[in-house]
Amino acid sequence: MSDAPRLAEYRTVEAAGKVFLFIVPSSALFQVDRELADALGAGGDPGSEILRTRGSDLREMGLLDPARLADPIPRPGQLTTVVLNLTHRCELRCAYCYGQARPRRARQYWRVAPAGAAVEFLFDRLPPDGPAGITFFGGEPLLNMPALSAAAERAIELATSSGRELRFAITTSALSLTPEAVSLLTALRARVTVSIDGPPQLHDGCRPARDGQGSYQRSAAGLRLLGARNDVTGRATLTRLAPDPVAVVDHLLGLGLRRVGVSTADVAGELAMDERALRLLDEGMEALADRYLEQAAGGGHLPLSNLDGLLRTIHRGTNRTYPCGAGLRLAACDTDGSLYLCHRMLGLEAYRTGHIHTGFEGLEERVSGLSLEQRPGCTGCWARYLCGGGCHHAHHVAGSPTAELTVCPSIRRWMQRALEVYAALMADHPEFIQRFIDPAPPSPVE
Amino acid sequence: MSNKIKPINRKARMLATRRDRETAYAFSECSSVFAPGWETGQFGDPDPCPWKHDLELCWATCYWTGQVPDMFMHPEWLGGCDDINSDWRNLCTIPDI
Repeated sequence: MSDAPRLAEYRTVEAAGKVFLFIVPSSALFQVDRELADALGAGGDPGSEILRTRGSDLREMGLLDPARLADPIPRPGQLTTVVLNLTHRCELRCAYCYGQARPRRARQYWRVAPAGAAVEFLFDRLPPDGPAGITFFGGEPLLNMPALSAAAERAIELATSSGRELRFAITTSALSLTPEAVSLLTALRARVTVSIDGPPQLHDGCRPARDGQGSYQRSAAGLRLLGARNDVTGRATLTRLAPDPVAVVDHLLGLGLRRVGVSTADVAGELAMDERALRLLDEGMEALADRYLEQAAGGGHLPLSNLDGLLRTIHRGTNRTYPCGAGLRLAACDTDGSLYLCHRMLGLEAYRTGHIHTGFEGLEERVSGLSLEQRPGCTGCWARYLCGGGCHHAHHVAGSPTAELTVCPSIRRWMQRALEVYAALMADHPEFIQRFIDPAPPSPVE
Repeated sequence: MSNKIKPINRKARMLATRRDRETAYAFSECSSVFAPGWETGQFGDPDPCPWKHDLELCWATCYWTGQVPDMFMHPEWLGGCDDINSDWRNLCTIPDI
């Protein structure tokens, strides 16, 4: 046994005039005295003096023990959520839509029966305890209300007989929202994610309707029908043409949305984020983080789902091997009953994982090939266990599943900022974390 | 843990509460018949056995010596386990006769 201790990877975090160490293999965060932080310097081998005087502290923090403390990996296919693609049809022709890359299918609508069968497929594979999640997706899921209603009815039947909690969610453009649809979603207590890209000129630039006209006014009208509800999230897609999140977030909050989030487009070509766009994104997210912290200090809460979610990850000390539950806890079901790794992979044969009538095929092998260990581009990244390796679909679009993504430096920067925000809040306003971050809402599918 | 460091998130608190000891495992924490007690992983410590020395103690001090190989007969039985965290699979190398 070698006597020379190896120092585990760590990241120094400065916040609220204090210094913290984020321990990479465990995702633990400790506040430390500046003397220790200075003595450790930039990492590497600790000096013999610091080992003699502070060895116990280093050991307690796991710094002398490079073993990873990973979260347990769920068994692939023991589902908690199924994403039902109710139709490929949509009123919109969004420039960045990954659905448009899918093969055109003969049967655009889903008949009623397979919707129920997909729900049964989920209930047959639920873990012994916990809620069942049904997410309606598309295309535009509101264009197939008969299938939506049938799936919901069957889910309620099965949940009632088995004593399960049900969690419905839907992602929609809100163009086709009617009072009747709003009533149904309210009755289902569905979490609604409305895709809206910000002020009219930004929104209409990327989200034209089929007739080429802008869709902003109709989306905004749909939002008004939904009203101000805590379970409605506004989600904006950022592109190279409109990468600044600040104006977008401000606009969405101005529409009365009580929860907003932004995401970069999963797309190659002229809308993909380039160096300039990523710089504007970084600066904008930095400004939003500053505002989040200011509002928290005043007893308020900027309902930015990007930061709420990441703070929750840091608070728990999440240590991921996968970026999400795709293939593990979540499956997406296409209009013909085919199963895919997730809703973003629909129609991509390489990510087809089976069929609701015949079950999963080769799922474990498919999923194991997507773990963090299979992403050499992540080696050496300090944020890899918070991130889990990045969106599988983003890697697919990038065309190089083992390389670092273009957006990775921005993600790292955002995670560093989130660590600073979290540390500052825990130091000065721990009640904020207790009130807004500890209780975890389920995440809708994006 | 000294008062100069402070666990902040849940994972850090978990580490702090499970590792707050000067020695790896105290005799008194073991069950009534086993010592030094590397079974104390029962509380969910993900790494109940980080020190090679603990395993040697299982032979030298435990009332139930049958749980580890006889170190007179197999003095090198821990030889393939310089780093228990990564080499623990090599423990099962003594023929069960």
